[in-house]
Amino acid sequence: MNKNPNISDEDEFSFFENLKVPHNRPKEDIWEELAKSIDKEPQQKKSTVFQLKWIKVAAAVILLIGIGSLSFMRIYSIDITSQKGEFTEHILPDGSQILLNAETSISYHPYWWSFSRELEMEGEAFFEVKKGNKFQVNSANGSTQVLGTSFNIYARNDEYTVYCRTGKVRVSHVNSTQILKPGDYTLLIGNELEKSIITEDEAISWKLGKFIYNTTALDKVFDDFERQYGVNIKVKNSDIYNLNYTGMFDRNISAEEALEMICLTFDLDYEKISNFTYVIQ
Amino acid sequence: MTKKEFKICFESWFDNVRNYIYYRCGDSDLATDITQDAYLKLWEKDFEYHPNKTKGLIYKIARELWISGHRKSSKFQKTELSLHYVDNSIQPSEQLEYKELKCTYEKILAELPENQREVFLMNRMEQLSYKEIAERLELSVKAIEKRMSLALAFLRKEINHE
Repeated sequence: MNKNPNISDEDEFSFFENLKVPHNRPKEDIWEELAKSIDKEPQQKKSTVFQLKWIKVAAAVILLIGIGSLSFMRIYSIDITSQKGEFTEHILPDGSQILLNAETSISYHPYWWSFSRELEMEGEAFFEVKKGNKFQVNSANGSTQVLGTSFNIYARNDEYTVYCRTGKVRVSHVNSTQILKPGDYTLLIGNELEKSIITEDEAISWKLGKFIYNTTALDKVFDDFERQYGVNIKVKNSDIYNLNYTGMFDRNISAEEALEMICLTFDLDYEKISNFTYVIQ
Repeated sequence: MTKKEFKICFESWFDNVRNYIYYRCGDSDLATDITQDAYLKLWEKDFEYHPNKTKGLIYKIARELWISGHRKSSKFQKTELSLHYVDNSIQPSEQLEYKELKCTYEKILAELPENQREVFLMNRMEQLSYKEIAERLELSVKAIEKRMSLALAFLRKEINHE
């Protein structure tokens, strides 16, 4: 096809072949100049090679230090455990607060905290989380994720319950997930998380220094009791574990007074064997 | 890179690189300076010599010198090409015709986008194949074909329009 009425494709090709760029300076002149300047430079060349080597070594060292400190930050962890009969308060690096109930332990990576707010917890604790990125609490029976809120987790043995006080909380166990709004409460039944109703006083009674039980199995009540007062309770007749206890008492009263209140309900007797051991009859 | 290898680089590609920069800027003296600087840089940085890699490299150094140092200046907002027609064996009347044709092409090529112009002129004036152009510009053959067809479409349209 002709691009121009006066010229064929073939002519066009030969036309372009005969076109030249008009350069003022011939190639030879330029080579002479280049040859002069490159002859001047042999020493300089060596030093740049030498520098390059040092830069490589320095980069490798910095990289190693970087990797080393990063993995230290990633791996180093803090463990905190509260003993029987004591509460422990702990403040996380971002200012979030955790109140650990008796016999509870948490573990987290303090230097990795700014990258990922994640911790392991067994027992029962109340969290007051500063606003920020995802905050995740893992336990054997489930994990709870929040952004910034306050909530209570109970994770002992096979039990896992979460109470949300403010904000929004996501709780998950294997494939089951629940989103909690303030006042919501969820507990693990079998392999499913189910929502249930509870009053705030009940959910975080321990934090308020109170024992509140609403048709709770007696063995659980005694477990709690042992943890809170740091005592041992022995039961002669294990049938009473089938009983359910409903009642409330203050943490301030002594172990004996409290035990008496519980025993009175069921018409049981207790006997003090040593300072820290009681037997129920 | 040894001095001998550097000499080979210079002999094999200097003209092509200089023309390449000329296609982009339309200023012969500047193209010469840039290409000379590019060769000096190639020597100073002491890259290892691999025929094919070094070829792409010298084009790249020259291109970057052009882009970073000069292209933005107001002088080059509009490209002006001025080429020479060098065949004297043809009839005087044809010569006149070719001269007109040359002026037409100079005008239209100046309006072509830089990256299409460079490919078109490398192909037509230096008879480099698409593959050779692709190697020099470190692009795929497909990209060269694309630019070429865009350039041809543009030229066809403009020349028929004249």
